[in-house]
Amino acid sequence: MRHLGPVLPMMILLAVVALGAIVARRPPERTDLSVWVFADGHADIFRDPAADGGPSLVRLHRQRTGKSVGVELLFWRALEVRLLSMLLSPDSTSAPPDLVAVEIGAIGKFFRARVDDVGFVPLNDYLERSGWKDRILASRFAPYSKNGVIFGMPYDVHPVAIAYRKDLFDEAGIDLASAHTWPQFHEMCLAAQQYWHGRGERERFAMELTTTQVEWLLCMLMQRGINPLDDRDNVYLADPRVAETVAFYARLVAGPRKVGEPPPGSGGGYRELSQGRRAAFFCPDWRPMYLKRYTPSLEGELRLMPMPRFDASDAPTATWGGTMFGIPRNCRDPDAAWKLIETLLLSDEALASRRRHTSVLPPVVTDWDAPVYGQADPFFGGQHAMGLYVELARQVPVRYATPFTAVAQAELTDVLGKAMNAIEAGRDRDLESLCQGWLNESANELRRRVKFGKIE
Amino acid sequence: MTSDVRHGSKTLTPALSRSTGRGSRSLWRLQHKLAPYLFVSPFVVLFVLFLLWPLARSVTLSFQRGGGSQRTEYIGWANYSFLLQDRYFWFAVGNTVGYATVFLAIQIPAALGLAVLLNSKRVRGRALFRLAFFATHLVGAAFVGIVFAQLLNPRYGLFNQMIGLFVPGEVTIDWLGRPRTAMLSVLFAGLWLSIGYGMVYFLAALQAVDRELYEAAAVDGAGRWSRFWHITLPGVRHVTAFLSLFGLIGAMQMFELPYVLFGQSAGPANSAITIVMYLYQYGFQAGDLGYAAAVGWVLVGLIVALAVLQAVLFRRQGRAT
Repeated sequence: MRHLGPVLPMMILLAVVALGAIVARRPPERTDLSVWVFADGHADIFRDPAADGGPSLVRLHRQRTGKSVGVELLFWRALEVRLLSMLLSPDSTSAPPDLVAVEIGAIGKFFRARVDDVGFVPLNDYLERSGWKDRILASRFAPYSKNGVIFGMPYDVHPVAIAYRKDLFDEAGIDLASAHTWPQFHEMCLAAQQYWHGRGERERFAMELTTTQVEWLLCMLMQRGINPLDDRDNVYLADPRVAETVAFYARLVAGPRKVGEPPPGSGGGYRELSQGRRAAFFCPDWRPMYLKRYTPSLEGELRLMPMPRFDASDAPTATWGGTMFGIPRNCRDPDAAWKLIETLLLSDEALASRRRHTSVLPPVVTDWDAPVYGQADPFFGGQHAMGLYVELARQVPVRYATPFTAVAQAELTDVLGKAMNAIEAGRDRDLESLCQGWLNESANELRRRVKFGKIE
Repeated sequence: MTSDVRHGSKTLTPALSRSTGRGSRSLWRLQHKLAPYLFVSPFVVLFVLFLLWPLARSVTLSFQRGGGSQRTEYIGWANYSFLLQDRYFWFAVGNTVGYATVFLAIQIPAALGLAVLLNSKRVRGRALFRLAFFATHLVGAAFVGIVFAQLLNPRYGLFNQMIGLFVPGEVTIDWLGRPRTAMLSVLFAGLWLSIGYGMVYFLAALQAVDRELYEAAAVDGAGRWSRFWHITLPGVRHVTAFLSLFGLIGAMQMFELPYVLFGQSAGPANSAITIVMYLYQYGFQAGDLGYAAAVGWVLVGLIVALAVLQAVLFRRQGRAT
């Protein structure tokens, strides 16, 4: 023992300290109901006291039902993996949450199973019995449904507008808001950009557009009523309008008529905007909150406008992002969980708390008449920004999410990359037909994957 | 351990038998018989529970399809046959094998070169340099991912600023945002992380090479290059084989470095996807655990095949020298 020197006492001390820490650790507070969320904004809305000093939403629920509620804020990836493990394992011993927030980009994988084996409780009966179904924007149920069965309560609408630097376009003598079609918009951006570049502002591009992700290309497709896949996994990539849209988008980001550049690096986008290196960008209703936080110097310089269209029948908007709240099938008491949805998401107090915390519109259509949505916003030069979002929200097209949506987006990204390369190689003239050929191949590949992976 | 126990029983049993009688003697014998099994049982239980069982489960998973908790269906070899025609999977294989090849082609010579340099008595502060080069390996892949994400930032990163010293105008290469440079960025970070680690092994091997061989060669008129080629390289051959094998396996299993570097994705347009990332995407992002399990087992097959090939090549080379 002597040769161990000070090691043994140190190890014993460490063991005693560790044991003490374990014994002294406060056990997590036990609550009757638990909610998992991945966004601190959601947690704040549920936990913070009301504006008049009244109870928070979780306290309110306790007062109304006698049930205590615990809100657990998890990193989104951890939430997804834990939830997936719980839902896939028939003999999981972990207690599932009573209510869980799932991001729209992640929801597809939870719908792989047959309808009666999906891990969430169907909400159709609850929605119909309570009368909420008619008060919520119908198109917003689409991404959270499978074969007509609704598995999630939408939390938002996320209509998309175009935000632009009015001061920069004014300087170039361009009234961007007068562009009603995408070709007009492209021409105006090109003219403004030529003006800026001619005055030495060679780093300034008219638009912030990504080239390696297709979220904004999907917005353009969505406004034309096209999803790469519908809720039954029918593939629409080979639609000629998709080829036309991909070719148009590719010309925005490559070649001599390029007007768009991606935001550089992670988190660099807002600095680029405040420095005037990007003059216009897609702006869903969640983005103004971040613009106000990260680019306060832009107050008064920005304006919002509806998305230009390709055809007169197109919607002037699309939707980008989203969250649903679902009740895991193996939760303790689905009825109690539904009551919790009503308190946290749908009650007057919940809607008031949201309006106080965020600019994100709820999917409850009857709430859109609230006076706050009619107010002028100094950040957007006195424009009725929320009023515009409400107007656009009423026209938001349907967006679907299935287990194959991610593959469809990967195929679209691939085709966009090929189209950009073709433009750079001077093969711009027959770009639409080239895109059509690539999209036909992609559609076949996607159908093959759907056929293989779909569980009937 | 067995011999000690046997020896103990010889000396202690008679004394015990006198004092405790026949019952305790048989209990002692039973204990004697069971003791080795009891000693190893904690390991065996943990091994079976956390390694063998999940492995066996992943084999059965790879022959199944399911997305819910209640029903899974047996689909035979369908996951594997689809995998063989899956162009995304082959793209990931190409990326991974390409990375592994270039990585080893640079890492091994660079590590050996550094080791030779820092083995020379003429270099001052060798210990400090050794520590500095090896320290990169101590911080771990996740940390390196975060650091390189900053270093490779197009506008503010050190890489572009360094290039800007030699090139006129503002350099804004989007290393992490362009498909063409994405894998190159992973390579930079991977090499930075592991050259020092290889160097330490080579240093140990170099110090084990018999000095008399160098002296004899010098007497015979061999030059520096000749001594390096005919004495040093054969002397560190076993370490080269070891590092190649471990580097290959590490490169084939690469996940966390690109995952952190590209902000929890597989890079722009999936351009930096590796086999394990593909497995992760299918298992945890698409929720198809059966297909992900099949990817995992094909990866195992690939690693075994490449390791065997490498071992054969090294053995042949050894015989030739």
